[in-house]
Amino acid sequence: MDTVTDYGGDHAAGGEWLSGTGPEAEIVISSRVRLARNLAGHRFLSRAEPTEREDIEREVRTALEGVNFPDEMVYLDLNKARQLDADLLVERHLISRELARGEGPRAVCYSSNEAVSIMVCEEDHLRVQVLRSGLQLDAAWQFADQIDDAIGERLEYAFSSRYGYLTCCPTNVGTGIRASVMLHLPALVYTKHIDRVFAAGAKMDLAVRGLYGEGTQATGDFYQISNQKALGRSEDELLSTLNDLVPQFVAYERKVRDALLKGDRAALEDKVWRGLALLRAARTVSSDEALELLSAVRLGRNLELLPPELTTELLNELFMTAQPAHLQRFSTGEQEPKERDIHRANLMRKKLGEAH
Amino acid sequence: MLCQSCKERQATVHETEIVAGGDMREVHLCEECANAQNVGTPMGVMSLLSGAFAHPAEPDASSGPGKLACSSCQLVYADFRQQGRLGCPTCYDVFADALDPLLEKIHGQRVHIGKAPGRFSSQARLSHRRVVELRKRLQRLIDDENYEEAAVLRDELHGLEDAAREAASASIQTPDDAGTSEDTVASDDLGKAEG
Repeated sequence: MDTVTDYGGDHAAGGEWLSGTGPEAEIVISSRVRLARNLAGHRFLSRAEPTEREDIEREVRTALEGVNFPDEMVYLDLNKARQLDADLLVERHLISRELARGEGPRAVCYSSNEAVSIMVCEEDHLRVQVLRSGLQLDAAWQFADQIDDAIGERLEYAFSSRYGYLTCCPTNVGTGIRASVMLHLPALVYTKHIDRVFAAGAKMDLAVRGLYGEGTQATGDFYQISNQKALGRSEDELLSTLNDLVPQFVAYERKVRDALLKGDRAALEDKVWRGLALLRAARTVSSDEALELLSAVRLGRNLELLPPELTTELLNELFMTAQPAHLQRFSTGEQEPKERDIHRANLMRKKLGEAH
Repeated sequence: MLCQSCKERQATVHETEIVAGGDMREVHLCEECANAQNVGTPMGVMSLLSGAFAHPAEPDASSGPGKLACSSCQLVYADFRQQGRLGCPTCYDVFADALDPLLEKIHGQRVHIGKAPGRFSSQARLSHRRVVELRKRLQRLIDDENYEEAAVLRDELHGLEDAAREAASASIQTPDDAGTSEDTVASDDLGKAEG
């Protein structure tokens, strides 16, 4: 496994989890399972001195080097990497903003297809994450479970039979699991039914957040639904709550889409075609606006109101490459927001077939 | 959009708090104000908990448990309540009495059922394997549309999960036992961490 200090991936489009090929991938963009773990015999990172942090990072890295992962892995030393590369990894959903903006020894170990990413020295010593396209929580958990076992053979985890896997923050103790799905719910947002999703989530102890942690009227009509509890239920139980509820949200979104098509097709066509038209013609487009317009285009394509060359793959690629760090890393070099907005507009026109 | 607090800097921290009853409150702050107000950090979660759910059984930071210090990392309980983060695995033993009601609030439960590490042979690990087997069988029954048998199996699964919870609770004797049981992995090795 190579230890590197920059992001060497050459494909700007997102990892495999963004391929749009999983079950229900039109609405359930991706599924994610994350496990939080700490080493026995060490303080948690909230209290560890710098030398102990170095020891922890080294122990974890050594252990990861010994694991026989099915895919090729890369170990990226974030303490030495450029901020831009770290921000890029946040945009690719491989690391959290906390890790990107943190200090001291820390790293991420991820697979070349970006389906697996292991954060080292974020809030806990280790956070194993598996991403899958569409609704595939069980598959993501099975894989994360295996990786956790493999790492656990080389490291002694802090664990008590009473409290389970011990974590820095008690909100994660027990299973240490956070399972989540990212949903695209434009019809529910458009018809102002999205608050029912929030209410249903709250009743089932699920957190419902926008793409950037915001509430109603989330950017790009994306919502992340995840378990909030981690202790006192088995991993399977926690997953089954999501597995029971998510298909109901999907069905609800589909129902509202159908109703919109039947009830006011012209308005719907207008919305999605305007979205496409703007992206094909605008000269400056902000990040937020790009996500908003791409959301309308995605809906238009799902409902076959827009031409088929606008594939899920293309839309997912644009969703990824329109983000600030991606633009700077793959097209423009470091730039101010105003210049990025121009380049983002150029990218959109080029990829979506420029209006003449 | 601008920070709701200082109205000068751009808001980069966005939180939606779902309070009791399903109502939502949106908070948009810049990084400086968010840090100052402990929003979007574990501290934010902790202050929500202590503010919104005052409980007579819960130890107050200023009383006895507040001064309790971890024998390994010296974290004082009152500081934990402030920061929302524990200092080391031993903290879970030392602060167990105070943690239990807190965990009850956060998770609705206070003992772990579910996976255990490989080298750990325990009730938890056995329960986990059995649960996995039964869930797979349940899925097969559902796929075959054998709903009657599936319902029976689902009840068995729920029974197993409840039993696992009870067994886990029962195996916790007194706070002393929990602290010195061999189940807590290597918590006495933290001496070398202080070097």
